[in-house]
Amino acid sequence: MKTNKLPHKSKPGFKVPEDYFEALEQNLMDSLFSDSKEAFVLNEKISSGFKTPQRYFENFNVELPEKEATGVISLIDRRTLYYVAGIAAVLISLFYGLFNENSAKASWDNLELSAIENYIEEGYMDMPESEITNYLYEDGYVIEDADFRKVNSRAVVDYLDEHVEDPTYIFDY
Amino acid sequence: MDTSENELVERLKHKATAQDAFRELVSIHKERLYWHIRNMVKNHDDTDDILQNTFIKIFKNIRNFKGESRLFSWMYRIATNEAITFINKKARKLQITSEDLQERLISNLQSDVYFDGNDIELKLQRAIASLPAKQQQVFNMKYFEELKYREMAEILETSEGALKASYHIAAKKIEEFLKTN
Repeated sequence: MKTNKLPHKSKPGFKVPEDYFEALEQNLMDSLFSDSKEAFVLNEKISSGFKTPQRYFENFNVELPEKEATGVISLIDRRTLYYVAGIAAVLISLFYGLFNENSAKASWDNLELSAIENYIEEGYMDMPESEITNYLYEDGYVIEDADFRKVNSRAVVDYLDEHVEDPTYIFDY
Repeated sequence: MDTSENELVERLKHKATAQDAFRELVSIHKERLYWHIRNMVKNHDDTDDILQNTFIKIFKNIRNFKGESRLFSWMYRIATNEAITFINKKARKLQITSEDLQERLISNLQSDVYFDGNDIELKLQRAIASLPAKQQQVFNMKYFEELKYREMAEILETSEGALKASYHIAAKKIEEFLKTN
């Protein structure tokens, strides 16, 4: 019976230059790794060029802070909280002063958190920490240190997860 | 976590043995962590500051180390985070992007007394700086620090396959940079 299959031919009349396949691999390697006569190839190890001061590692010593660490897990940098709360208070006052005539009430709800974060991030905050704490008010009450201990850890983590864009500030212990 | 590492962690957690254990920890890991940070921030003095902070952070937080990963990986993660935070802060302070900061760090190498690289080594540093941050990190860890993919995967919390691909792409880009620049 006659079939429609083409007869199989391993060499259908085409030719390749002499030693083509032998040279192919070498050509590829040369073009990828050693085009340049210089040692600009990663298969030849290039050092970083960095060095350290003499006897640096022998003399390396870590100065631990006087106060030893306690067992309390710090989930959030309190200073950041101070900054955010302080700036928020200042901005609320500012908004209130500017838009009072339009009776626009400033509150946490209509204050852009990203604006506060940006303000701090950009380094506009030029105020010692001790002074910032003077501005820490919430609903007319001064926020005590003890209040921070009441913060629900899970809520803080959820908040950070949702709002902090740069994960490098959150350690994954 | 192996027995000796486990024992060291336990000693670090107890007040009576913490100081000696910490000295031992610093002695074992200072060089590897130093080079890991140095490859990221390039400058010796900055590296020294970050290394100090890294060890202090390790000591302060050792109680939170749960042994879910190896101590070595956990410390590397802290060092990496410290170095990234430092770079971001520095860029912000200078009001430039991280990419511009990289270029500036490389330019400073020529006058750095703790860099004695020749033209090729300087060119390699330029090539590395031209890569995206993640690829830079993977390349440095594999090429200079000679970490295993398994170790890198644990530190960077990425799959070995993704790291291999990332290193391959980074190496190709660097080769191209070295040939064309």
